[in-house]
Amino acid sequence: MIKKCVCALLALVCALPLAGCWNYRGLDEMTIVVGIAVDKDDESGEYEISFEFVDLAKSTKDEGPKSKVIKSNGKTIFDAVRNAKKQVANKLYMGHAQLIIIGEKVALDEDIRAILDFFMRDGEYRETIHVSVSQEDSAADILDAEATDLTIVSMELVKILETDNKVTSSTAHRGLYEAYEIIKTDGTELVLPAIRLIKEGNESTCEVNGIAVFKEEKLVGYLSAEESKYFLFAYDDVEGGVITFPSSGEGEDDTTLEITNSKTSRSVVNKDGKPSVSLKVEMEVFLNEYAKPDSKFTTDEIAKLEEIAAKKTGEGISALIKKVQSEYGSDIFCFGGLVNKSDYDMWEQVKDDWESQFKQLEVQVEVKVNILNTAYLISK
Amino acid sequence: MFGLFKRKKSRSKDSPGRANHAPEDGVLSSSLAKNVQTMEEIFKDVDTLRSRYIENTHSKELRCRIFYFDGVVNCELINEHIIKPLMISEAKPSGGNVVINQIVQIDESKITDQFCDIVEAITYGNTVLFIEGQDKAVLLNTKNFSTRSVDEPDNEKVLLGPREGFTESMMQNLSLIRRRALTPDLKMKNKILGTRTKTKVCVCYMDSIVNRKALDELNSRLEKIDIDAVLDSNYISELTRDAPWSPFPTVGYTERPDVVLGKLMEGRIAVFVDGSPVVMTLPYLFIENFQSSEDYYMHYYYASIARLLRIVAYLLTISVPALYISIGAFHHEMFPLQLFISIATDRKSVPLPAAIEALVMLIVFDILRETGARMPSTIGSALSIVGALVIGQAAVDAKLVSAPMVIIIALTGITSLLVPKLNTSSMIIRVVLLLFSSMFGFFGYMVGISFFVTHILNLRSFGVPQIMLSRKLKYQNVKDSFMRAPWWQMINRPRFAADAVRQKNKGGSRD
Repeated sequence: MIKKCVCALLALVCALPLAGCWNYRGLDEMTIVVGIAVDKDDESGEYEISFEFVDLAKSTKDEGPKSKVIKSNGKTIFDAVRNAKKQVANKLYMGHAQLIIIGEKVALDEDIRAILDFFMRDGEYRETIHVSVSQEDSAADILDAEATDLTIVSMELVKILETDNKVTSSTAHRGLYEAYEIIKTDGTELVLPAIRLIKEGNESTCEVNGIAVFKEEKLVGYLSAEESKYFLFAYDDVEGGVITFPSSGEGEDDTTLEITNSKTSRSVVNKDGKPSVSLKVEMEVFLNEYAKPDSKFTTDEIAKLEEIAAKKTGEGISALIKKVQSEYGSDIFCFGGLVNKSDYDMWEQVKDDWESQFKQLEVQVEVKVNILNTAYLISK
Repeated sequence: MFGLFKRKKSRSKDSPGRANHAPEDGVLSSSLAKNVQTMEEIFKDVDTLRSRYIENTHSKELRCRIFYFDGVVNCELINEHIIKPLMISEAKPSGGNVVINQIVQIDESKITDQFCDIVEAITYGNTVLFIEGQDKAVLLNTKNFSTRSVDEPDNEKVLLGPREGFTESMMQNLSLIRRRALTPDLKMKNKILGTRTKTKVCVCYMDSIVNRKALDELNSRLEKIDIDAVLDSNYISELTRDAPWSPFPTVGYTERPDVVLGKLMEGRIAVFVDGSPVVMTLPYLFIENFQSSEDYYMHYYYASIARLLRIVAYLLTISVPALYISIGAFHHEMFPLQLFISIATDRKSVPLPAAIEALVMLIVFDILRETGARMPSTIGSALSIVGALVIGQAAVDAKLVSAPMVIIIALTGITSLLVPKLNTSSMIIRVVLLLFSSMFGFFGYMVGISFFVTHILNLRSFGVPQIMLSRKLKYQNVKDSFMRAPWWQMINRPRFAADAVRQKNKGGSRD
């Protein structure tokens, strides 16, 4: 009996280290960080990290959570993170951090792999934490901005990023693990959402403004919100958003289509031993705004609208791909990966030379717009 | 380790420590005076003993004396049907039989020559008749003690179905059962337990359905009981139970005749104890904790949902504080951020660590509950004010307790009321799990849970496993467990019953 008891207790004791989380850490013993901005001090060359954390003392039930920003310097990122403890009573808790904002300067000068490396390696950060690039000089400015809707800027930005491709399709959001994986993978390049400030008098709010394009590990440029939409079409990541176009085929845009469903079939064709990519976009849309109130919406007229919309979108996608090919030379569309997947032998031939191959890659774009619904408004 | 909860096999079998009163063990003499003297000796200093001398008007030979206890007899019956006939009868008494057969007009009579029989009978409300020249006495049934009327038991209220409840009188209780099962198959075996109280205990079962093994086991355990007083069925249940140290019930209790009969019909045994309205039923399966008599009287969908709710409530009531502490102190990532911030804001100004806070609040809640159960009903409103306002609202406002903790404790408390039969165990398990999780988080919680699951799987009730595991999941085995199948599908009885098929002619015709 005693022997059995001792055995059972020993087994329990042996199993204890398996628990992983060893320490009791009360909720009141932590500073909850929600957003992190990574900058570099020009003079000293040290990292300057800003943390937006929940200010529990000021948060109330009525007004919601409030946040505060502190800045700390360090020779490395982790050094700076630890130095932040000098300013706060409780240890920083990163388990609920939502957003990493990388300053433009850091993104231009530093190897982004080195920055993401720490966040991947450290156990406390979630791997789903969003990574973005600030278009301002200092990423810390973004955290200092006022939130418009929620009370904490980082949470607001994350919400904006996560719902973007369902409503506006103006940016691409990447989690930390995705960003890290893309950097490590051949045949594709990283894009991150770009964030800028809108200043009005003394107050400034922030806005998601298209996409930051990386080549290998450095920032090379941006895509505007409009271009980002075409990027998403090419990348097959559109779930919503609108398309505007002139109903007569030229002139000012006066008609709006709301995308309800969009699918891009991406395929690779072998053209004389060289890869050529074909994109077939098929989308279902509602007609939401139309400048000709007297229209009867005959089948012909709808077909015409569909054609104009398809043409405009197709041109937009092609123009964007051209721009990226010539200006940035960075395969953000993951065409290399597509080749790799569909024709491995061909990929083996072109992969060493993919950077120049991508610049000359032929891309056929075909768009099909299907207007499902025009809404019925009585005309005279 | 689990041996802790196992039943001690060897119970001391000393001879019963019966108090030896010399006069009580004697036999009657043929002298009336001597018998009367013995009676007075036996019941010395018992002032409620009444006695009356009677002489027949026709025959001077018929002289007798009756003894009875005041308050437990029907005086009118004694006057009209014992004293009067004895005085005016013209029959020639030649023995006790003539008195019973021709003179007194009493339904149940018995002749004895042992004083111990007399003592037992007279204390139970019978009248003893001693006749001059006879060395035998006549015991006459004149019982009439006050009993509570049959009404609905307070802690087993139902919305639908029979509302009768047991009282403290065993005969009345047995009549409630007998009236519902008009069959000679229903057996009622009397036993006498308690060396001093001589309490009547009745073992009821359906002869053709009962699990014989459990019945034999019960009888052998009852025989081993050697206690001076049996005041309630819990005395017997604790003296005969399996796993004596386990917090889980291994015997069912009920105050409702319909429940008892329902259990009898499933091959179970009921034990009635005179003087207690609570009837023991056994063997007891673990799932019975979640069953209610109402389940069988209401729509089967409703009953099934209610049962699932009870099971969920039980899991909640043992787990909620432990899970809250696990997440709050170890696995912070599991909170959604908004909830995390709001809880952290609340906890910011509370002095105690969450685990100790939970422990204190659990104790406070148990104090409140216990007070509520025991206090006189007139001060109930005062308690609810103190409980709800002071402990709840004021403590949160004063930042002694965080608001989420009050919610956690309230949830724990309310869910525990859904499964009252497991209250004892959930009170203990809850605290043990809380301690485990406050040390090791989810890991500790899982260790605690596996300990209890292993223990429950080991439990037996009179030889029948409390959780019957089966290699195959069969509908007839689960029809009355986490759900309540409609009656036309209740074809089989529980597996331990001797006669397994309940609806023989149906044979699954609508299954």
